[in-house]
Amino acid sequence: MILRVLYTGVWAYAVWLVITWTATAEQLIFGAVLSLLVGLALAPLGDVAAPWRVLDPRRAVALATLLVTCAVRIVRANVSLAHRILAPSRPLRSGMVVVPTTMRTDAGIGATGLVTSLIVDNQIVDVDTDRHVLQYHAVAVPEGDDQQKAEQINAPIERLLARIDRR
Amino acid sequence: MSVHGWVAAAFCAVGLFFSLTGAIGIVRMPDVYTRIQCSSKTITMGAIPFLVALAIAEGPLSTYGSRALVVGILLFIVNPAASHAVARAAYKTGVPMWSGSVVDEVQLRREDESE
Repeated sequence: MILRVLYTGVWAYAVWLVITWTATAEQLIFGAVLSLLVGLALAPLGDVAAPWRVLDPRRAVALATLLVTCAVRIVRANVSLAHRILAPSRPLRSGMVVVPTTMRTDAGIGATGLVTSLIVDNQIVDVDTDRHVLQYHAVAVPEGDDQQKAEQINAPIERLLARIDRR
Repeated sequence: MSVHGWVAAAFCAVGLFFSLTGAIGIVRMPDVYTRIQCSSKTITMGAIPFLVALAIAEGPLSTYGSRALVVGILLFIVNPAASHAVARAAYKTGVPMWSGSVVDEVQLRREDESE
């Protein structure tokens, strides 16, 4: 519990520093007290990742790879969607698809849903944690079996998230 | 104009283009699900380039740059979460996909299980 308060407090203090961006003693001390209170209030809600975990070189490389991969896929998907919107023929192959997921934790499924939905080709709609599948709406339904569809929607992102989340 | 100014203007132009196409898409797309995806587009490639432009124009290590970073991170979390909530609510309440949609695998699986 004490560690949770500490981790949440450090994250809150980092946000305070970025938002205020003022290095005066009053701001720093007030921010520290406020962050401690936030840590005490939010710690009972659940586990929190230690902020210094991102300093692990292998995890930092995985995070950087995820950011670059997402940036490339976001730009590509947005250009593709802009083309679909502006083309006179409106070339859509939309539909609901169900793909398997390797994620088993709430945090893992949540992160997968958020990151894959940022890539605008696909929007997560629902989760079935019993069958370990995710429901997506896709503007261009991928071809192939379930595994091939997952490779085009969530599997590459899940592999990167698993590298970041490893203990 | 300085190089910073030109680069910031270029990012603003990118943001403007994708915001405009997103807005056109919301009107032009045939059902609620594809429209939701067009509204996501106005954030990921619409608002974010404007925030990058702000950080470049005012300096990434300035008050503007730091707040642009916080707003960007919040948008990246809130936007897909809100889109998910709307899409899930629409599907659960039976809002239909358009007639040209190619598959509804959830419906297919339900039919397979009931047979």
